[in-house]
Amino acid sequence: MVLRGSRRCENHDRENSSIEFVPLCYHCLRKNSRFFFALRAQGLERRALICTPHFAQQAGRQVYTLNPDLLLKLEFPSNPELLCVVRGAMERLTERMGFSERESRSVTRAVDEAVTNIIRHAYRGQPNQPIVLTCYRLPKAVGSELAQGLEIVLEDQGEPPDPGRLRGRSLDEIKPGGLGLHYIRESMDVVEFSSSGGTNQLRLVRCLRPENTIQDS
Amino acid sequence: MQISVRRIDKTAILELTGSIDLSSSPAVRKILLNELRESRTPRVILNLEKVKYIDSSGVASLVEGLRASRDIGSRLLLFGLTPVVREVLQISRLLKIFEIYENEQQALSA
Repeated sequence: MVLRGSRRCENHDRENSSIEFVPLCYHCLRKNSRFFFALRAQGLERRALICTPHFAQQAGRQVYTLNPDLLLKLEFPSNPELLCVVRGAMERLTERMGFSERESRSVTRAVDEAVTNIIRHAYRGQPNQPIVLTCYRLPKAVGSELAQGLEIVLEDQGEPPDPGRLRGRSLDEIKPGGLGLHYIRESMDVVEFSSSGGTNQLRLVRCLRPENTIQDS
Repeated sequence: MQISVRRIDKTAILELTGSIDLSSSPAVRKILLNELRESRTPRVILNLEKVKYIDSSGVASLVEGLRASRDIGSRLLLFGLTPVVREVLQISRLLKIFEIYENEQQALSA
């Protein structure tokens, strides 16, 4: 199947300059899971800009692009009252993906603690500062034993954390505070922090265990 | 988050309802520490049956309450732990640190 060169949707006879690799529109791509996974296996999924002609028709031919692995994107202010909203979204998303009830609670707790840390430490409790939460579906590579999973990226424009704080503390000492990072590390398979150009980014990954499978939507 | 207080003799029973997170843990902390440090209640029991969620700031409030109770020689007891609360105390390695009971009757008899 040709991945490069074509900018025309094979089924809809539409041409769109925003398509770099994908010769199908998003509507057709979703119906063609074989092609979808072939694209992923070649590592092209993040570069593929996919046209959405059905949306374009509804929006006066304006063409939107959509990352096929994007599951959820939330932009919200640093208001502690919104933590329950974030937890609700994460619970539903992880359940939908096939995580067990316990795993779902675990991932939700990690995200809640990460957002709490942003509000408390990066923004020092200042309300109405921007936080962006983005969730991606991690595909299973062809021929790989690696599980599918969920990638969560949290971004803020607050103060970067002191690297010493990112190590967490020993649980042998009974004292209040310092548990949030422990919950995050205990819940997630990958925890990576970076800071660049005034934006802090926390990347969290949780793999689906082999007994679970992602529901293909 | 709702907090109600009942008193039986020299015991205060605090019933917590809802989620204990960054938005509500300051209120939990304030009431708990007030009960221990200001009122010097000899025994404070927390009813956690209706707690749907607790985060690290909520756990920190409980730990602070425990320390305050030890400082003044009173007791802080918990009962009615939901799976969510039990799980969080377990991964914090605090299950054996607190006095935990199944129900109010057991906590009152302890």
